[in-house]
Amino acid sequence: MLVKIPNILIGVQQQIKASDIMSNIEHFFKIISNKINYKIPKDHIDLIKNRINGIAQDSEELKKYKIHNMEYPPKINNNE
Amino acid sequence: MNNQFSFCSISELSSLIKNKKVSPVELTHYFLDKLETIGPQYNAIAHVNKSSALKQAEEAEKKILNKEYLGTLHGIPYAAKDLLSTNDGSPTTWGAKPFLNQSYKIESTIITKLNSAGAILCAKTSMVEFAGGMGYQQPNASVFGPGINPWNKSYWSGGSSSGSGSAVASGIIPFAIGSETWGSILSPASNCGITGLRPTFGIVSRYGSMVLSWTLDKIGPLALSSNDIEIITQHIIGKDDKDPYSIENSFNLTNKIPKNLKIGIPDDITNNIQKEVKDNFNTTLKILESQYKLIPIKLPELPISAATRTILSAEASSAFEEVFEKGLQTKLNAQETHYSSLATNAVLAKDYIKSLRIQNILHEQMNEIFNNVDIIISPVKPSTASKINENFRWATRKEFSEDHPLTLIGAIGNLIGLPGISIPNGFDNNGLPTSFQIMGNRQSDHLIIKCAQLIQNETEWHNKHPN
Repeated sequence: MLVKIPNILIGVQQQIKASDIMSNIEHFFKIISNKINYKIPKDHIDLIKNRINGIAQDSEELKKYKIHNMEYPPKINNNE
Repeated sequence: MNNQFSFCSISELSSLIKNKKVSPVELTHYFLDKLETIGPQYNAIAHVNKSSALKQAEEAEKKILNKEYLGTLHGIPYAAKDLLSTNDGSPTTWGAKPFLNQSYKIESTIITKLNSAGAILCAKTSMVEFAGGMGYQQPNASVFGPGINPWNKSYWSGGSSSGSGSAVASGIIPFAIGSETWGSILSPASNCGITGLRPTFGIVSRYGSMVLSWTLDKIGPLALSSNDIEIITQHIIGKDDKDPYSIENSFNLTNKIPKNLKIGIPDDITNNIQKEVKDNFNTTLKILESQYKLIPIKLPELPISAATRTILSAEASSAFEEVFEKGLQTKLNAQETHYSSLATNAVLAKDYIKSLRIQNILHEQMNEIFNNVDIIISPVKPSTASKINENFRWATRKEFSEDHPLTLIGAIGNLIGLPGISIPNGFDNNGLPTSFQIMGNRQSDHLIIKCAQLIQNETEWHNKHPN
């Protein structure tokens, strides 16, 4: 019993058509669907859509903030 | 048994022990009784560590009799959030039904430190399941039931350190340890009208604690006053090789508040918040304004909340990979998290990395702000506690703006691990506590505690307790 990921993603794609990250998210969800083997109840699909939508919105917001290639390498919490 | 020791400060209890007016065993019996009889009224307690506590108390008493006094925490009972492992055989459930029988053979560094100082671990306090890592939206998100607010049982105690907040506020334990990834110490401290410290990231070891986010998790104390917080903090800080993120600290008890202390007030910080929260905050400002300079500040314009949420989601999806693979999250109390939490697995790697880069930009920009001010103050939350049977107020973006400076203050403090302390400053019309927070730059934990002491020396809010 695999998760019916495509059904979930149709709705999300409709909500954030402009986003170019959906194909990546779809890809990630396919990976997840290969790992887990329980069925998602229908009444949870909207909740999942909302969370995916939130992640996509955050992704869009992060994308708007530009950082130059050579600046600010990731350095967790500035710990020395 | 009367309430003779409830709501006593650590210093008062310590003095009684040192002067042999009360023994550690007597005091431990007193608080164990309170934990067992009153704790369940607030869903505050996950497990009472009775036998190990009494054993510890007997050892503490022997040392007193042998004149081996360990210091202010010697013989003082305390409780710890149920995500801190102990090696006394008691369960460490993470607030989650699938882990009700989980126990560890290791002891969290913070427990070792407190026990070494002579403190007596009496209980594990209840918490939101997985410290809220699955994205809960209502108070009943714990295997122990919703945390009940001692000021009014129809309201929530806050989360995710729910039991730590209500246990201290109800006087059934002198102090408790909580953890914060994003709001989980300051929120219950604020809801319950007690004092809570989110320490600088890294100065308190997290070894032995459940991981929600390696980059954001902090462990800190909740107590009745900033004086108690100072005592506890001295004993729990320190570099620990078992926590790779642990750092040296510059906590210095001889530090005093600078005479020309400059206090930053974020622009528009009280816009669109509950009237009583605003009014009480303005009263607090007047106390400070009489002695120090208040300076308006503008918070950085970065995608701070998005970056914090992205790091939290990405790291939680890794930390709980096994939970997801086994479907254990479908056994949690908060049904809304059963499957929606899977979405955290979809955070893009580029967004996670970008968020870490933004974290460093934020460090830089906040350092610039702290060149002009010593501390920043704001209300802790836009409103007092939520009702126990309702979804959270301000839970959606529509109700309370992501860009509101109050949201940003919380996100900033947690994204870059700045210390913050929550201090009660009054009540709303329903008798629920309001609070404000003092945030400082990294390693200014002692300065913000001193500032909290200054306020609490001039006010009595921290000395008011529920009936």
